[in-house]
Amino acid sequence: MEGWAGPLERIDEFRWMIPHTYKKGMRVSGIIFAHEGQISQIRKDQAPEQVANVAFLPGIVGSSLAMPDIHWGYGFAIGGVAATLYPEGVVSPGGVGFDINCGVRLLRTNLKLVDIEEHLEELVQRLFKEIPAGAGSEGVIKLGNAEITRVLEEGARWAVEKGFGNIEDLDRIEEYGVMQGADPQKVSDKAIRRGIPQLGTLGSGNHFLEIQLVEEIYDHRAAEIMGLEPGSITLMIHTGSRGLGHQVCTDYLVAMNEAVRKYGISLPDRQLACAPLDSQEGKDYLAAMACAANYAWANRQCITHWARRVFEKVLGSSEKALGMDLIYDVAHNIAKIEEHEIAGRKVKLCVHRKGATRAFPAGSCDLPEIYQKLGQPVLVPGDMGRNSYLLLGTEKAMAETFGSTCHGAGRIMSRSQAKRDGQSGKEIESDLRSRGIIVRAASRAGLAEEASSAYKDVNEVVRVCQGAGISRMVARMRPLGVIKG
Amino acid sequence: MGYEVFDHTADIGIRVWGESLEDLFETAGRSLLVIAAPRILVQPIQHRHIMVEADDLEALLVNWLSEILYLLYVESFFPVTITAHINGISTEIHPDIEDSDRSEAPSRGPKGGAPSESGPGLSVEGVLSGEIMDRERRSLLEVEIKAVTYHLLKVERLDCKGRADRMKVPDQRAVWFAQFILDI
Repeated sequence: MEGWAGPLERIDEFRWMIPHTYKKGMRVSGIIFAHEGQISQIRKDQAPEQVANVAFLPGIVGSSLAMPDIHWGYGFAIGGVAATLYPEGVVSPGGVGFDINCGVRLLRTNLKLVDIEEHLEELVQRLFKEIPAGAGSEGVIKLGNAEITRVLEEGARWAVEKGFGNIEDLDRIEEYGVMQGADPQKVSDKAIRRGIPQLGTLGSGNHFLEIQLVEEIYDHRAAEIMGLEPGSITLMIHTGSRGLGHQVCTDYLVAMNEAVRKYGISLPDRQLACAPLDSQEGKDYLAAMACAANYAWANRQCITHWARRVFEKVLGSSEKALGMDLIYDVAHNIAKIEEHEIAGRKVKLCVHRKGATRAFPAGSCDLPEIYQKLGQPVLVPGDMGRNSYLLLGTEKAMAETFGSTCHGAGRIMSRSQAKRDGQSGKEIESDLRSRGIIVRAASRAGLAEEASSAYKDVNEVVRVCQGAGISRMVARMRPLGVIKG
Repeated sequence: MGYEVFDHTADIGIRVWGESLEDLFETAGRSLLVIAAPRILVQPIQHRHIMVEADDLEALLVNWLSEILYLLYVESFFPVTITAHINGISTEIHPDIEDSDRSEAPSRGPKGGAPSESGPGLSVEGVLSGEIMDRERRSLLEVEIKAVTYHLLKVERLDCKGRADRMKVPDQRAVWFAQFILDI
């Protein structure tokens, strides 16, 4: 893999700049959040070049940003954040990705390790059995055409109405589980057909469901409000919009490639194909993207419901008694129209987060009452052998990153390299078991691709976000049971 | 003809070569299937016809591979043989394809802009033979390929390139070369 030798100027301990003079056509500079020790790793692939390429997008404001979990993607780097002026700037489906509204949710419980230790094996096996995972997995929900239209329009609200979860859950989801502006007419028949059998499935790749233990609390007041203490058991779910989202992105990249010619936009990478926000192509994409985002929220909501049922069955106690409340649900592949302050003036922007999480501060009107004084919970999953984090959004994120922070650990090794150089799936399984982590995966080969060694250390990624002030730590979790797609 | 997989941090990259453009498209299609399910066994007893269009070869390859992914994941159709035929579309050959027809198409989904005026459109027709996978065979799908990306995408003729470019492929008879990255 070819390394990147372009200019990276140190701004401060946690920020590095690619000046806008690096490439003709860059409209703004690039800024990568990282500490010095991470730079040599970041230079190992072409992710910084992608940060520079994103700076070509018409209407981009501030800087083309990358969070510390940055790695080489396609078009945008993963960990990329870009804001464009609304409505004259562009929207780029590549700035959202194929897995639209891939995201994470975290549930608390009243449980402690001692309550589940004996049942952990059974919990993992039953979760694996009840929640379809793996390549091309199909769910048990039978959707008709009329019903899927409602899923696309109503997201998690549809799921709750159908009995998958509680009304209180909706309050704890970004956008309250329903992205406005969704128009199912803008979603192709192909995308609908891909989506119909897959609602309520985890999928494959890096998607997972994890039973976790709260290992450390950094902010006791926030943790208390969220119902967490050291030793608490939590449940984390990471998945997205499955084939429906992938098809929406595939379809709109074709339309956007035509739009690029039509509007005379010059880009260094076709995967960045985009259209003005006020063009028909731009509006249609946002309406279709909102549908896929809603599908993803319904998907995570259905999975949550089944996970709660499994806990009830195995532990012989009600969901209420187990205290399995949703802490929050975040989208980390999405584009949203938001209001931000630039040079003292409020402006409407389209914020693309491609492997980045919204991190709004306390007082933001987009947060539910419970988090008004705290700030938005940010969920950062690590790899299956290390940690995951619960963070909070900050004012500084609002000022510096359009209210964004990291989304995970970030890969450092390709999938084939992980399989070639690392442990086999079977070895990983027994290694994790010896450390008290039970893993059940749909594919052992897939497990080898997801080895801890294939990822950056999430602890380092979070340290940068905390150090740079774009989020602050509340709790660190470690996995006990992992269900992998 | 042949292909190789190359490393890309989050995804899988593929380089393909062939003696003809058809050969290149067929091999590219097969490479996807080997990645998706390396251990599956199916017979070429059912057939599917597909046709996709684009204004340039690179987009044509993405659309072709996306169509194969659709057959695989939505129709559960796993092809073992793929034959491709590539046409250049012009209004003389397809007088029914006009801008107005496209923009007024009743189908849902994205409405593309007018086709580019920079050159004739291209199409590829494919005949794919294989089988609909039953549940057991579907469980042999090891990798879910989310999509074919445009990042680092290339389709090029090698015979008009210098020797350095020809060295990219191990088969010296190859005339066409393609490179693409899959989102996994």
